[in-house]
Amino acid sequence: MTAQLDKMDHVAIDLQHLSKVYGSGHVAVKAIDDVSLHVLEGEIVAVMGPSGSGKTTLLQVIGALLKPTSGDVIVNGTSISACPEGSLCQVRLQTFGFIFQTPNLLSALTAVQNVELAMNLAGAKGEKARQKARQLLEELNLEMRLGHRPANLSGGEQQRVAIARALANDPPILLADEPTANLDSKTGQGVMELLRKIAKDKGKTAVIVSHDLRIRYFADRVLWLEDGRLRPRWSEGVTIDPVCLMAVEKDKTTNVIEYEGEKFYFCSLECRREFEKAPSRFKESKLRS
Amino acid sequence: MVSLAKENLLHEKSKIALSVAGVILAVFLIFATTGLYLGIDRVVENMVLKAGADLWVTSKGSSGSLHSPSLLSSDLGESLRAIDGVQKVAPLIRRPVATELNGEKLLVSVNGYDTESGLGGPWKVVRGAARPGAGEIIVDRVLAKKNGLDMGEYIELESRRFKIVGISDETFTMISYMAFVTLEDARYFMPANLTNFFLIKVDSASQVMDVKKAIESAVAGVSASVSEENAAEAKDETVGGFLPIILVISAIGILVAVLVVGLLVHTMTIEKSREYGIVRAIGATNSYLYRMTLFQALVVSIFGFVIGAAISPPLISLLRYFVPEFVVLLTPQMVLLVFLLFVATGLIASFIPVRRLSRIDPAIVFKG
Repeated sequence: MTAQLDKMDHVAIDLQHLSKVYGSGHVAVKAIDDVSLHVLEGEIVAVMGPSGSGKTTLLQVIGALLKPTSGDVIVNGTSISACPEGSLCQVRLQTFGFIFQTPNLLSALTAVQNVELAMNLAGAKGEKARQKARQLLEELNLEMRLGHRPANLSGGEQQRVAIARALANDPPILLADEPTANLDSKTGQGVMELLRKIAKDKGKTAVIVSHDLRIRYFADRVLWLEDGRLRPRWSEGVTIDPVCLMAVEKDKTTNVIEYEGEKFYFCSLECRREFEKAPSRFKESKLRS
Repeated sequence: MVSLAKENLLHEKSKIALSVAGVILAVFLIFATTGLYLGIDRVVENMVLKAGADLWVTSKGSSGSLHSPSLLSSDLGESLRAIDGVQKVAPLIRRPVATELNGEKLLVSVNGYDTESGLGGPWKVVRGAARPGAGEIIVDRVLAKKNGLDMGEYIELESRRFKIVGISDETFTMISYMAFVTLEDARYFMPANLTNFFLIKVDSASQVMDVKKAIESAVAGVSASVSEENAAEAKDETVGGFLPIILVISAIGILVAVLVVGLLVHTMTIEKSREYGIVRAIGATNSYLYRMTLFQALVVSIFGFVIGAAISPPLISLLRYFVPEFVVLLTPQMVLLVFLLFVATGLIASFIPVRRLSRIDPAIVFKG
């Protein structure tokens, strides 16, 4: 059931000709198309691309939440693509720490309980687990928020609790899906700085998928995913929203305006309106080129 | 260890309170209906067993002691006394008398008994004299309470006035109210020289069957039945008829509880689908979610049962104050049975959302 890789023990994640197809026949959609990739231990990789490019599907397949249609996912030398469904729960618990677009905390549990639950699921119980949960939250400057429920935490605090939960079982790999998408730019930057610091301090491998180009400053390596395939850089059909710096596919957005003879594409109406208020402020965005 | 099941329940206090209230209502409904059944069953049984006789002698072919017509000559008493092993013989006149009290028509079962031997007399006098004298009557508690009758007052039965000297309990059968008078006074309601039954007390319990056979062979035209058989027959005649109704009402109570608890866990499953998906994504198995749902369903069922069981007796007493006919008997066996039913309710209810739980996709967490 598992395949051992030789001479590749420094590779944390090895994707081999990975494809994922949703549906079949003429309605089949190829979300990931023959992706091969090595992520080294301790490396932080950002996978960027516009909405619908297959980033989240890629993360789900790596995280054993989706089975690939073809190809292999090898994590720390062990193939998880062929693992039976029953053992994938254990793989997820022991190998991955997930950070989602929304913090996805359990509303009935306090911050410390949210972290402790992840440990309980992995078999750690009692005061020891609770102490470790507290310690993790304290490391993330949440010592004053241990007994707070998610509804009483700010967005940034919730995301930090989610990071603590992801670290609860000391997994070797962190998988983050748009971790800053629901945060304002300052909080998002703070969360990314924290994520990078933790990954580096604790020697974690991290794969972060996002269409927020600012994420690239926090990664060791940036990959571009478009139409399910990894590319050296974005294609002609993709541009960057000058306001939020998200990748936008030109033919998929209706928020387009022309300013001083140049076309600008936006991910949302809000970004377009923001641009219209002070075009000169955004026009020269360095990231657009 | 963090109990997500417990925390989820505590986090939804108002919803849980409403569901527990539904279960409490179902518990009360079941206790009230089955308790009513047991209460009447006990009264009917007592009417025969507490009469104090070992054998009941009736007209041949007449079965039971409550509703089957039995008419015997009073003279048979001498023949019965002559049989070996017979210690006491007492005639019993049991005659339904229709009357009207406070404008309401009702049926009083007048029992004329031998006050000397006490056989066939009231078995639980709660107030007043233990036995009536000439022109006196002991009436049922429910009859007295419903009609505002009290000691020293008079009740008229077929133009004959009786002074109330005692109040007896457990003598209301849903069909009639029992009243006790002397044998001589009861003869007013019967043709001369007739009685309905003879109650026999034998010398020793081991002789009962022998005496029964001896009576049936020595006295023509009579049947003798053992009190226990007679009681079973009386119960069958009286409460056997509405047992199916009681069972149906109890089944409805259980169904209501299953639906209330099932709806709760199902609603929680739907509302928390995303959260359950998160738990699955971070590594929980399906069986973890099943156990969590089972725990929630059992807690609501059992908690509802405990409160329901605790408040039912005082609530029934309160109801009985306003509705005296509400003769309810709660037994430990019945409480245990209802408890087991509610444990089963929790188990069944937890199965309702299982399909939904098994379909929860952990990938749901990736949808913003």
